[in-house]
Amino acid sequence: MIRLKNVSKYYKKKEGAAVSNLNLHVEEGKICVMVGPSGCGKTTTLKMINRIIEPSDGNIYVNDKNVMEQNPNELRLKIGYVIQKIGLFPHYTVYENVATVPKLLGWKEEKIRNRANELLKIVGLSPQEYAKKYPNQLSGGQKQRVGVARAMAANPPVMLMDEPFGAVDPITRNQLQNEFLKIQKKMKKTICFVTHDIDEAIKMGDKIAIMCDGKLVQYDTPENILFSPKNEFVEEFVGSDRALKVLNLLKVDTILDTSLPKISIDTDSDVLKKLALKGQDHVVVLDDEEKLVGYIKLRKIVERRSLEKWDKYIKRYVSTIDEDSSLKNAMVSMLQFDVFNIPVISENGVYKGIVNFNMIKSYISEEYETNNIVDKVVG
Amino acid sequence: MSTIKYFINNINKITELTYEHFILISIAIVLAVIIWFTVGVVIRNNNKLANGVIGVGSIIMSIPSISMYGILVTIPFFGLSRKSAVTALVLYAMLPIVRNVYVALNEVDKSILEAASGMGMNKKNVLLKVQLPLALPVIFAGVRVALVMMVGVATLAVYIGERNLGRLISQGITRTHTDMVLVGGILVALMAILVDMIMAFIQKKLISPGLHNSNEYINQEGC
Ligand SMILES: Nc1ncnc2c1ncn2[C@@H]1O[C@H](COP(=O)(O)OP(=O)(O)O)[C@@H](O)[C@H]1O
Ligand SMILES: [Mg+2]
Repeated sequence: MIRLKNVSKYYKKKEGAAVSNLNLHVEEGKICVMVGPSGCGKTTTLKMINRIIEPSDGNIYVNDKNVMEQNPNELRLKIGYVIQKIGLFPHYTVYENVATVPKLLGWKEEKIRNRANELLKIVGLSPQEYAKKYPNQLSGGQKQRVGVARAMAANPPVMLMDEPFGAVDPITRNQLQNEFLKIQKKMKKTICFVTHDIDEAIKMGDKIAIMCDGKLVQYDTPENILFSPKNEFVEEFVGSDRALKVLNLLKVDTILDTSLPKISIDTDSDVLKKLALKGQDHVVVLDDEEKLVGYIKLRKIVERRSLEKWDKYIKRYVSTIDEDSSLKNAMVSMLQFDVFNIPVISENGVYKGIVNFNMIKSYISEEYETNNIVDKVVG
Repeated sequence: MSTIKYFINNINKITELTYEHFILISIAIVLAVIIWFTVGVVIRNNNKLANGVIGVGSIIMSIPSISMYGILVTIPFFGLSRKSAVTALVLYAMLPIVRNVYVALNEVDKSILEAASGMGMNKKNVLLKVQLPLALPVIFAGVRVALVMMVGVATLAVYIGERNLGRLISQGITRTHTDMVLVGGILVALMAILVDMIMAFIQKKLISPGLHNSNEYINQEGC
């Protein structure tokens, strides 16, 4: 847990505050993303947490202990730190880089080796291949991975990350973000994450702190930032394509339609007839293991043909989508395959439900309306 | 041919002079590294002091070696002894070593130092485990410059009583003995090349392979 209480920083007395009267609470196991235009005080705020910069005013607590009352080096050993320029030690191998903090903590050789190998695997680098390499033999993305592994080496409960994925190309960045989120799902560290990229903030943050000129403008969940920006600055910073960003944020399961009847391949034709009589148009066909086979357009069949050998009327969906996908992924598939419905399946192919284009549309407009009403009441 | 003949006929004397030459610069370089490296480390964070010290080094460097030896022998403690010769060589090494230590330590990428202290290394560890190893290539370059210079400057120490390869050159000139001058000159040049090679060897052992320019970089992420 990280808590900032009325924290200010003046580099020079005459100039304004680089950070002014900041209050922020990062809950245990959550990622707080600080985002804002360059020079708004993000890095300064981050560095005050591990005392690389001393605050001029206010108090900072990490796991309920005031950082100013601790020895800075001991404090830092418990806080993982990733900086934008990565700062790998070029004279150390990948292994030695990752082993830095465990060595400082006096771990036994074997424990360090096991931990380093484990971490390299976690960040997607094979220890056999990479442990003995030097940073100048790595690509940008690989360096970033080593930087993250190094910061996590001694399993610190708290991590500070200053634009950790800033120095790589967009494709690698996206990959690193996804991998990091996967790692975080298991590790549940308390993380302060700095970026100037609102898309990265929305993607990575459990909460987003939007900063401007050293002040905290809005501290809220990504949804609330997108749906109800507090003022014009936030609205502008988030961008006019807010609606699309929301889609990126929402998983398909938020509006998953599970109401379609499911039948298995050996279902009796009488059951189908009954469903058709009830006015059911579509049914989903699954196999014994609940995996998706296809669908049947009941009404069409009932009108013209007997249902004796109904399985020959099964049609396949042109596209399916993973249950982890965002609504944006779903939209993209819909546009790509020119369909309005896409079935959602789990990792092992089990059918979960359907996402529907109109449902996405109405969900978004509903959210906007609710929040606009709230805005009017408050404003 | 006569040069080779001269060399063979005087092999004992030449060996002795070479040996003495080598001993002199060895003593001088060891002392110079100890002293000037320490000075460089001490002044690393003090710009004003560093400018002063490096300025003094530049002034010393501009003193012609003959006058340097001349001044030193007039100081009673030094006199006509090896002390004077060693002191002169150490003084000449001041600029290249102090300057390179100072510059090298200050040119280490700040983000790497910040990463080091941000991870919880204390000041001593940051200096010893990160800053110095990273500064080593530039520091070595300074030491090598100093050493090669010493090999040459040492020849003039024959005027204050040193017996070394300079003797072949100076006596050869006064006697217009070309072979003698040639042997002296060639051996001095060879010694300069040799000590530089020794330093290159030591440098390779001491400096992390990670600091060599690598062309092994392969983009494994694929494009
Ligand atoms: N060491 C420093 N000395 C003086 N001013 C600084 C220093 N570091 C940052 N600043 C100033 O403080 C403000 C905030 O900087 P910073 O925290 O680095 O912003 P950000 O990380 O959001 O881009 C800027 O106006 C910057 O110029
Ligand atoms: Mg910054």
